[in-house]
Amino acid sequence: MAEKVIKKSDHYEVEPWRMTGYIHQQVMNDAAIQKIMQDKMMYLTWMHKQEAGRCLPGYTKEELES
Amino acid sequence: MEKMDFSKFGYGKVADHIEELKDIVGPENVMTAMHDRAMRAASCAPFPMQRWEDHIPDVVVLPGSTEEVSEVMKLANKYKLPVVPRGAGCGLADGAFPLNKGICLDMKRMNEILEVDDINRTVTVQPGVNMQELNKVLDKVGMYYPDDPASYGTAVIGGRIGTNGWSVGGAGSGHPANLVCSMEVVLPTGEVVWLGKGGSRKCRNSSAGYRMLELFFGHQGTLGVVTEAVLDCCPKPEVEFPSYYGFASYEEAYNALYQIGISGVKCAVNYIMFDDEKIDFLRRDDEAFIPLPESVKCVVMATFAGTEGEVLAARKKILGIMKKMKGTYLGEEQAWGDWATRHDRYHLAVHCRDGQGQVVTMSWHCEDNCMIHSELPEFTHGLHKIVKKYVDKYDNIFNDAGCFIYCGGPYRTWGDYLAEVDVFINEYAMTPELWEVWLDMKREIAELAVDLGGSISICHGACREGDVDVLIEKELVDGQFEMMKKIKKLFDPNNIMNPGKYRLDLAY
Amino acid sequence: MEILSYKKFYEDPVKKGEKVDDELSKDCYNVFACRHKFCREWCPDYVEEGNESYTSYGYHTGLLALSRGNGDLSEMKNAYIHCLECGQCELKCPNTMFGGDFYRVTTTTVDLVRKMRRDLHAQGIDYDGFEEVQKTIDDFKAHDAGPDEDLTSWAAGLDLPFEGETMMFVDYYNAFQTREVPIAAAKILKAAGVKFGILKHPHITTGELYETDEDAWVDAAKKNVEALKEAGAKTVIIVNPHEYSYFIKEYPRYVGELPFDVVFITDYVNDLIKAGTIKFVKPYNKKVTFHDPCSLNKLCGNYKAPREIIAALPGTHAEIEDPVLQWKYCCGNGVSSAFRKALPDVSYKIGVRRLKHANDVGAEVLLVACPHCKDMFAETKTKSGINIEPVHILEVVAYCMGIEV
Repeated sequence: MAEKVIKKSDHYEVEPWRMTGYIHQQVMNDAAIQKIMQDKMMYLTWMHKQEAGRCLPGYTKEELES
Repeated sequence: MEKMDFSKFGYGKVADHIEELKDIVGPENVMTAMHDRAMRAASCAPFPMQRWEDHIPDVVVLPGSTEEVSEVMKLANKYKLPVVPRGAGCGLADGAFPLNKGICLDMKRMNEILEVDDINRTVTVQPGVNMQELNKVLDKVGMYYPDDPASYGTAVIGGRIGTNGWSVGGAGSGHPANLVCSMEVVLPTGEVVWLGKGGSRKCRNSSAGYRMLELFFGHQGTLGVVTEAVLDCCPKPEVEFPSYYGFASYEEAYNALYQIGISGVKCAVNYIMFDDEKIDFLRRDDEAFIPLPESVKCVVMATFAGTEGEVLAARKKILGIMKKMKGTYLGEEQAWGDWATRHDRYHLAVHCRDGQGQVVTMSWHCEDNCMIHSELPEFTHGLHKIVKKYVDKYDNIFNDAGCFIYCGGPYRTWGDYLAEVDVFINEYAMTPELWEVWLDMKREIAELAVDLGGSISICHGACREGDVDVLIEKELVDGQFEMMKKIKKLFDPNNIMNPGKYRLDLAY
Repeated sequence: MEILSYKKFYEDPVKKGEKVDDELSKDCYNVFACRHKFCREWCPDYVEEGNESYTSYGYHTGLLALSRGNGDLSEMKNAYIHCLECGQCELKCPNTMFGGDFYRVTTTTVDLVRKMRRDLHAQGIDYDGFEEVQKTIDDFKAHDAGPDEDLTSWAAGLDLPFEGETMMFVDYYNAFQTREVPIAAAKILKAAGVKFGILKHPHITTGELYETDEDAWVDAAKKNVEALKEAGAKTVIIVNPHEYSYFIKEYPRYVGELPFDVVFITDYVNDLIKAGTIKFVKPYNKKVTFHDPCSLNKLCGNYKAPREIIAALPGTHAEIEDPVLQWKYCCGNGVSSAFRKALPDVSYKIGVRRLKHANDVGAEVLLVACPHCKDMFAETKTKSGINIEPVHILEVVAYCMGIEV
């Protein structure tokens, strides 16, 4: 099922029409969305710290092209 | 198969023994209010909301010690009262789902970490300890308990033993069955035993006597209650490296999975394949997958953890193989984010859609069949064929969330796989008729797994409605179920321990 | 700065003998459907009690079961009192953390608990220990009905005007129970040359009222906003993080967009330090750690300023735990102090555990940014004898500035 999503400056959102039948969106402002994103990043950073000393960086362009 | 008939067991009335239970554990640790009981009816497996009342335990008891558990079991045997042990209640095969009400023995008050031994690299815990919380403590001495399922943030040690759980880190560090050195168990009669590798608490191997410890992995609360466990810990990895690769077809991803699996690299945490339907599903709302190019149909993930030297070597070698197998590296950001969220986001109820594209909330159900490599394509394609039939026929009741294929066995990245199709089910709209349809789907899936030479369950258990008939009639026909019945009757003469689970009522 | 995230259908009360509204029932299903309970292990009450009835999962599932005919509202009098309203569960729930920004639907446990306490109270179904809470509410209501001078007596001798473009809002708890905190705040601002006023008659804000008589609380909220506007406020500095969370998360639901900016005192003071208008003249030679107030860290996502302030204090050695780890911590008071009043034993245990964490990182002083935390920790320290000193961050800032508080 290929779906279109709404692209905001720093996150994606569902097309609101999909939230009109069974379940409805609640009242939310951008600050609430930003808080969620901040909490998420903090949590993911902490998760990585918990499971290993550090996470190695991704492959460089050179590594990918060689 | 004959229908379950609990009347022949002559169970007593739990309501007549509330005061005695209060005497054992203290009145504040006995709950009779409906909401306290009703919210402990479900495990994480799809729940028959249409008959919620049938599965509500008669009382909830929160023991605080081995002695209290033993006294409860003795009382239960004396008056023939069913007992259903409960860990986090996040098992996916209904281990903690009462089939005949009874006493819900909620083990989570016993959640102390008793000893950290950083010389012998063990930690001794009570059964209500959760792995994520345990690792916060172990971090202080550079130790790590590598049991890492999707339920990492919520599952407890007793439940991991009860379900014979699987860990995403298992291909590298072993699964719970490999990580418990010894444990204390209260048998259904109230007797307290220590099971280990021989009689040692901390040895990892022994040939002294029968391997009784292993018997309890996957017992689903039918053989006793774990009250303490000594766990094996590994060093906290120096570094980790997750990487995700896109493939243009299932075939290519599947072949890549094989090649990296037999590459000889030993520091893999796991290799995971995401099939076409899984990628389609993730593209709905997962920001790691939404922006992927159309050409990416399947994904294979390879994550490594260990010393910097070995991870750097693995990182280089696997890239070489992936390039040969036409995999496209999906980037650092995607890998960093997707790997860290591996527990948290696949199961949200809002992932689902009805036929018109409206968001509907359903409960995630994860099948956990075990399948050998050679049959994977036929198996996963077969799974989708089955599920699609039901999704199409019953709008707004089921959703197909695609397949994950993970390395299945401990300490190895080849051979067998956890081939999981994720099916969402609308419990909210459930009716008796639709529940039967659901069970039909389960049976078809279970039969396919057995027919192709795999197993119904690698890690949840096969004791659920739908699975258990296929288990008894097809998978364990070579004498295993007969042995299970004998053992059950030996340990639990009155059938008070999670009665009906695994249809072990047939033993009596 | 307003953080709005709430469900309008929570306004319909749950009533004995009546069907639970379908939308509320589905809302509860959204949590039940998951059943992964990532909320559980990090709940400070659960850590002590080991009882999953008192988790986000328990609250939602109990109500869902009720909606399916399993349960009775009159049996549920104590079902919602074991909640500190700290906000951990609703921020950590995958529905919020991984789905909330995409779907604009989140788990809203704190609102649910407040709603259920309100709905149960409206039908005379009160939790054990409610009488203590009612006394607190009555005391605060008496303050609101009392003379203006009492409400601002904490500011005696400070010569603060009752108007200004910058206003400092001081709640009743600070004004009567922990006056050293607003006094320190006022002296710090004065010494930094900030011109500000206070309200002549601030109105009641306490959370215990919000979850018993919403109308009365909202009425007072509207009066507060109006009074601040009348006084000329463009910026309102708040000294109690509980009130800070009410102003930015709850007030706008009822009054619309606030006619002024709202800043928490640590953000304001931190800005003054960075601008050089606050100067430190004395060192604070202590090993310190910091306890993130639940209402600031979990409810509002605000954790940076206190750490920056502490880093700027001369002579101080700080070992502060990750704000993520602190999602699991609490002083034991609760954002609605109802928890502390109704469950003093659990409150105490939660506080003891937090003080021990502070000991574990080698601190002699536990810095706090909330008057409730300060009071709670002081009581817990005295009762337990644990060797750690709870001190409000403003007191240390004042000390380093050479101000007598």
